[in-house]
Amino acid sequence: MAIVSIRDITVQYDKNVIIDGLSLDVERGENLAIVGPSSCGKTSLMRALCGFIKITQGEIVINDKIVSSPAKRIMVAPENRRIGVVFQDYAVWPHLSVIENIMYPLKKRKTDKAETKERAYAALAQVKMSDFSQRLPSQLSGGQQQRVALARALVSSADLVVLDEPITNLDATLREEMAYEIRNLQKTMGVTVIYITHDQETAMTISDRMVIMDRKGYIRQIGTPEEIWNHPTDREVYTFLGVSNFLPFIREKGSYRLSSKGAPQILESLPLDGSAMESNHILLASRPMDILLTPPGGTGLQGVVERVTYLGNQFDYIVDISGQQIRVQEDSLEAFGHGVPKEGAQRSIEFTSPTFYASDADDPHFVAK
Amino acid sequence: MKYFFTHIFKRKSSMGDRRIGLDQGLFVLSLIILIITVLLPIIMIVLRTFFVGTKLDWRLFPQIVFAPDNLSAIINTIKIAFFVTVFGTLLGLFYAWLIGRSDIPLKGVMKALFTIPYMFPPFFGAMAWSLLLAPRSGYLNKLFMQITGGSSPLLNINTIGGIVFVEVCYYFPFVFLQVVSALERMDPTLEESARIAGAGQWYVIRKITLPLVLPAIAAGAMLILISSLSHFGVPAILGFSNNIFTLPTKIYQLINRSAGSFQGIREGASLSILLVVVVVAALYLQKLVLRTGHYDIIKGKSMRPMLIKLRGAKIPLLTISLISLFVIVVVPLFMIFIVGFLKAYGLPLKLQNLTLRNYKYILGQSKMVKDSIVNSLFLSITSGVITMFLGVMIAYVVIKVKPRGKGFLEILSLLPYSIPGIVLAIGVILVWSGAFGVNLYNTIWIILIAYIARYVSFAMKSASASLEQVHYSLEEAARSCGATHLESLRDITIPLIRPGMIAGFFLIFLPAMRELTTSILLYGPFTRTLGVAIYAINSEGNTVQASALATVAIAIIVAGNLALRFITKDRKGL
Repeated sequence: MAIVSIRDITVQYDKNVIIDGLSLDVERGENLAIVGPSSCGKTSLMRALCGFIKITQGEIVINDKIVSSPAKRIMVAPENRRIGVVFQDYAVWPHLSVIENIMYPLKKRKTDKAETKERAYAALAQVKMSDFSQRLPSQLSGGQQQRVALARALVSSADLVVLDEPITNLDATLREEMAYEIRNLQKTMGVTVIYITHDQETAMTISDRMVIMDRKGYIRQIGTPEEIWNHPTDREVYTFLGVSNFLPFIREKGSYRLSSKGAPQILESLPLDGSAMESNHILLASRPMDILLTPPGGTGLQGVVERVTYLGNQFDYIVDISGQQIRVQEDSLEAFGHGVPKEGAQRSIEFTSPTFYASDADDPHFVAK
Repeated sequence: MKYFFTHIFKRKSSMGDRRIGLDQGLFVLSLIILIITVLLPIIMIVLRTFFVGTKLDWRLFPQIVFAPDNLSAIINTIKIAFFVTVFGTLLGLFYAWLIGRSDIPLKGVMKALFTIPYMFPPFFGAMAWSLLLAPRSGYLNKLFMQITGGSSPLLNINTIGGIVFVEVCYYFPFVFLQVVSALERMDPTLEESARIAGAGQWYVIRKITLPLVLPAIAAGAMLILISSLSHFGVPAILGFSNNIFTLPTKIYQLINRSAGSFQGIREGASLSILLVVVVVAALYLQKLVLRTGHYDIIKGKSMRPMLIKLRGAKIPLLTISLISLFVIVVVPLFMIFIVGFLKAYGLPLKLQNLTLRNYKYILGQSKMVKDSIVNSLFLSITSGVITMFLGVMIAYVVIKVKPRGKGFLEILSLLPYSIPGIVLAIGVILVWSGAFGVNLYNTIWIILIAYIARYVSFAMKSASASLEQVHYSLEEAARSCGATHLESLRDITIPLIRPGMIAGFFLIFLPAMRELTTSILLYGPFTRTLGVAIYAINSEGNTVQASALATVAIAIIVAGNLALRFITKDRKGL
């Protein structure tokens, strides 16, 4: 059963439409990541959900209660929505000690004194900050403030917590650790988490389901991290998930010609599916790690290794295929095993798990004849 | 007006605004208060100048402006303001460079001395310099005449030159402080890389440093210009006896002489409009200057700048600085202090001529003085508290609520900045002496209203600075924790800006405590303020008592400044 139901909402500032007809259900107890490039409207979505901004159309339902609906003239105040929020800048109140910060939501909800204390210290222990209860926020590091904000949000609502870009300000190791801890807390407490971020990697490690938004505020794809990684619905989602190569092919007399300036290269068949089967212009998408460089010859595409960069645990190549350049990455151990190609070497290119998208001649990847 | 409000809210509710209810209430309240206290007086001045009853009448304005008396006041005002600005800027620049970029010793002492002129009203300086350089009775002139045996004084302070001198002493810190802070924020590598590229010291000052601090210089110079244009105290004390008038003193004379008659107020209002026009022209000039040379020199890191070695010039420059600081700061304070203890003005400054009688009189016997101290304390504290809260409210609306019409609100609240105090006083008289059915003339409330209007810009600026430090997510975090909007203000926002509010209170309390320009037009028989009392006693020729009372005022101001410093020092960082 959905704990949050967002139904066809529109958010606009003046005439500037940020979100246009967005619908989304959040299941109880799940960890949902909303991912999108910066200024795609994901923060506006969170602010509309929390009641900090009004929506201009549609409705938002939390726990079967309508909280925002311009048509029904309903606008439940933020304090009555019972959502725990962790803000991007933590928003830990600087004039209150750590424990006072965490006790604040309990005080506002008229919890009795003994229970307030007990629950606040318990929450502090959960985020492993018990030793810091009397500190002022200015005496804490960014990561520690983050934990306080998280504890405060969990105390505020054991039901539904929204985290807005919560760990992007932390350094890489802390980020990983926090992501893991957030996931752990969520599973042990059964709280529903909505996790908003522009960082698709953290979203993948942390979430049960991902929502991919685009720059215009539309949802492009919803699915588990595996589904999204393996089957991005379109090229933008594909690109958004990481470094990607696109090679343009034109269907001619049953075979497929690489659209390029250089020597013509033709593939007899491609494992197409979906809309790509009907199109004459096809884009092959592949991640750098899913490409094999084999000795030249055979029926595959042929290319020249233009640049070799050693990155420690892997090699990074730029390969030129008749004027189209792709990026290839290979595990260092494997590369050393079969020999690292020299710059200028000929190679045959194999794609281990390509994805195909229908396209058209106007696409910039295609070279005009 | 009604249409304006409904219009705002209609437009507002159709968009995704962040808050409702309380915010709109605060917005409307701020708008109403500002319209009544700030806009209405200005409108009344314009109406009174150009309308007789409901009939438009343009003739009076040029008639008044071109009257020979008034014309000479206009010329004097501009002349004085021009020279004060030029000399004040040069003096400020010289000290700023010396302290910001040279290796002169005793920087701390000098910096502390520079803030002193800031604390006291310039008319105290005028009084002090009269004690020294009044043509016949000034102590220095008497000494000079004794030595030379002649009857011509050394210097006459009751001249335009004298007025310029005293104003320069009080206004040069505007440029000094602006430029020093710009130099401190400036990235020293900008200068160093020029030196490395082979440029000479003088070349670097001319081509790198000076252009970079130009906006700071322009801002400081404009402050001097505007302050001098609308300044009342110094020309009033030094100019009246010699028939030298400026626009503010002329306005005062017109209103005072006519005892509030229709014609007098009308003439005063016309000159007020002229004064406002001059000030606005100066502000416009500042905009032009600042637009032509805008450089961003603000680099967060404070690095140690390259200091210029003065070598042989060090001792002479230090001597000159210390002597001039001594003359500007210490001498006038000392004179006021010592004369306050004299048995009679003109007696030699010897121990046997000193007495406590003046203090006994002003603090014990004179009801007028006692009233004035009580009035000033009441006015400063009340206007400080009210204006500070008003400033917080307006700043909150402008910065956090951001409604349609916030620009209008902001302009209204900053308007008093460019309205000379004497002009504001006339406007307040026109509004509150029965024109709208409320007659507060001769009561303390009319002064309170004028103070609120006068200082609301200070409060608004100070509150804005603190509120900008409070990110909106802090308040929203409270909302999401179950606090209502009002509770989030009470629990989070207000405690966070409390140090700023207290500092803001003192920023109003201190100038209000020594206010002269607006009070002098508004006081009634029982509502003299401290400034008015000192001015009046001095004008009546009771110099020793005036000096004693000025010493009392100085003590109160110093105490207030110490309190302010104490509060701002242990201010918690956000």
